[in-house]
Amino acid sequence: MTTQEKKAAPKPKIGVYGFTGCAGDQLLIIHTEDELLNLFGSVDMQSFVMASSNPIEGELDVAFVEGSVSTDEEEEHILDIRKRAKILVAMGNCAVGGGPQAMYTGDKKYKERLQKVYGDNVKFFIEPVEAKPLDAYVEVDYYLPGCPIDQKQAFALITRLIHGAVPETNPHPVCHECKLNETHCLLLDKKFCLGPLVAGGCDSVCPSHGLPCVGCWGPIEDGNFKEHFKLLESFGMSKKEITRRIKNYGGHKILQYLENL
Amino acid sequence: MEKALIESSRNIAIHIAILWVPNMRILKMQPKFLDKFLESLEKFGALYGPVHRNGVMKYDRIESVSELDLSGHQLPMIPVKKLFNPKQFTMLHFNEKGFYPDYSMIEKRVIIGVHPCEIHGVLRLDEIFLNDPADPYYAGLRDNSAIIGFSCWPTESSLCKSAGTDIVDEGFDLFFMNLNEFYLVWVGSSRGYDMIHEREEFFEQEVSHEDMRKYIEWRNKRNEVFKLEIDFGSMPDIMELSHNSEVWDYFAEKCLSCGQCTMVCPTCNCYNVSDVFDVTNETTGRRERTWDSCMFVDYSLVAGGHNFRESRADRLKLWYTHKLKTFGSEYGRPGCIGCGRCVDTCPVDINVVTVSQALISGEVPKE
Ligand code: SF4
Ligand code: SF4
Ligand code: SF4
Ligand code: SF4
Repeated sequence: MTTQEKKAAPKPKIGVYGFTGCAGDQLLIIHTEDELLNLFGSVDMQSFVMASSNPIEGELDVAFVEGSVSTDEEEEHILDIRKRAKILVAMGNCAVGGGPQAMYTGDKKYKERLQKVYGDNVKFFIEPVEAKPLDAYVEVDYYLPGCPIDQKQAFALITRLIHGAVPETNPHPVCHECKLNETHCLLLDKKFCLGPLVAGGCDSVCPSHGLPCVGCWGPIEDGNFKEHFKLLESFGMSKKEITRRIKNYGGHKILQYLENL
Repeated sequence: MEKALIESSRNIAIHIAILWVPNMRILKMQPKFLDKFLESLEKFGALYGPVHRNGVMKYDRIESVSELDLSGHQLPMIPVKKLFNPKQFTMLHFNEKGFYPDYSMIEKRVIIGVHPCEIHGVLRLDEIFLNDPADPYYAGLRDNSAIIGFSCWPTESSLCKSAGTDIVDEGFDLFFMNLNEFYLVWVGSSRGYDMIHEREEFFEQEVSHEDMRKYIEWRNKRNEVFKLEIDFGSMPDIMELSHNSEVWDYFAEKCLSCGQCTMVCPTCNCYNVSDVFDVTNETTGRRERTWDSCMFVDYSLVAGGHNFRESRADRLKLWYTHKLKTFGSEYGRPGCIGCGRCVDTCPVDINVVTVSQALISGEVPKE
């Protein structure tokens, strides 16, 4: 066999880590039964505590990190992972945008909220910090949004990285997939839907079941927030209510889009 | 009255001229034979047509002709283009030795219930996909599909009369004109003849002057119901003059860039391709092709990060200039076939009517 014919890419050293979140994204990878063995066969899995014990914590080609940074321990950990990994992928809504726990991040009332929930003089095991997405601390190379991430989108990115190719991001709104799925648009019935503001990738599961998109893939940069708010308001919703719903999944990142409305 | 008579006899004369196009024949059929006849077409391929699924009308494969909605009062949300330029499919498989086109989606089909404007839409797509070098996927699907046209009734949004697409005299194998008491059936291809030949007993060879009069009457009545109108002829000049119009900024502020207008427009045909690797470290994978839209921000993004049409106003301008001007100068007829889908679809009322009216008057629509 000539080298020309057989050119397998070298197995990249991979680490998968979970911070504060529901672990749904790691689970999704594990639950991809058709591909899981292929995945473990084509990478050098160094650390994936959820799937196998005895992790090796050294240099990495790619680190996948799920969850938001919500404790000082996690803060240190993400800095350490960043140092060791050539490529860092934020995996899932919490890592990408902060998740629901970052719904109020940046409101300058963190201390107050912490006290309200946990009371006075609590001794924390691990010191909590205001929940933030990974890129509040380190540079992130690729984002894999979703709550949880989508199998097809995740594996398209993972396999690109295995082959040393540049992954494609999806800057299109949920509406794109919604129409490819031939789904009736809720907006035409004057019903709430965040589709035009939200990154696609979920195959528009909610509108396809007659439910509104509530934004779990996070905002798209191109979203016309101003006009969409105006449209939803014309359906009788208040700005406050729309903001509440959009913040739910938008986390930390959504705030910058809501500034000038 | 007298004027109407003259008008209608002139119409008949014109029609007889059209109908007597060589190879174009008209037959007559009683409604009771329709289902049986359509069922018999299974011999020519898998049957497709407009059906209702989860409250949405769509072209789909059918199990039985009773599923079909041939009333002609509604258009499927996504045009028939999806059967020739599929929304999403695998174009080829690759490994380190080369690539292998995947034509597995090409099958023999009979598409029933296609309205005249939709057939015009397919004819416009032919110009794009079948010109040398032809797109092999489109060409394969086109060659293997028979089109059985059906007459329709305009909706509130129909613009086909303005677009000159309310009737059609090519692009179908058979065309059924529903005159309630009976169907007039145009035969448009040799495949159409073969279909008729199979069940000759269902068709009457003689179409009387009286039958034709009923057809003309139907046409005249139908011409009265159109609510919207666009002067397509003047649009290329208007577009030329409107390049810097403020109207674009007005629409740009509203546009949600949802891309729905593109997905539903019968002549929009852009797609993106993406290579997807298999989960292995060998070089194997597939190339996928998916509908794209010039309303999306990355559409005009090129290597190096330059974006030719980053602003929403530029994107809208491209969409409408293509429909109303450039398509026409390239292929002779406008890129809008007047189906009215953009009118029904855009959540913020940006469509071929509001845009052309605003450009003509120089005034934006009243809120
Ligand atoms: S239902 Fe929602 S996601 Fe679908 S097209 Fe309408 S706004 Fe977009
Ligand atoms: S439709 Fe919206 S809320 Fe539903 S899964 Fe997709 S991104 Fe999340
Ligand atoms: S014109 Fe309307 S349908 Fe088209 S992208 Fe803009 S908002 Fe969506
Ligand atoms: S521009 Fe509008 S009316 Fe014209 S063909 Fe496209 S969707 Fe139909």
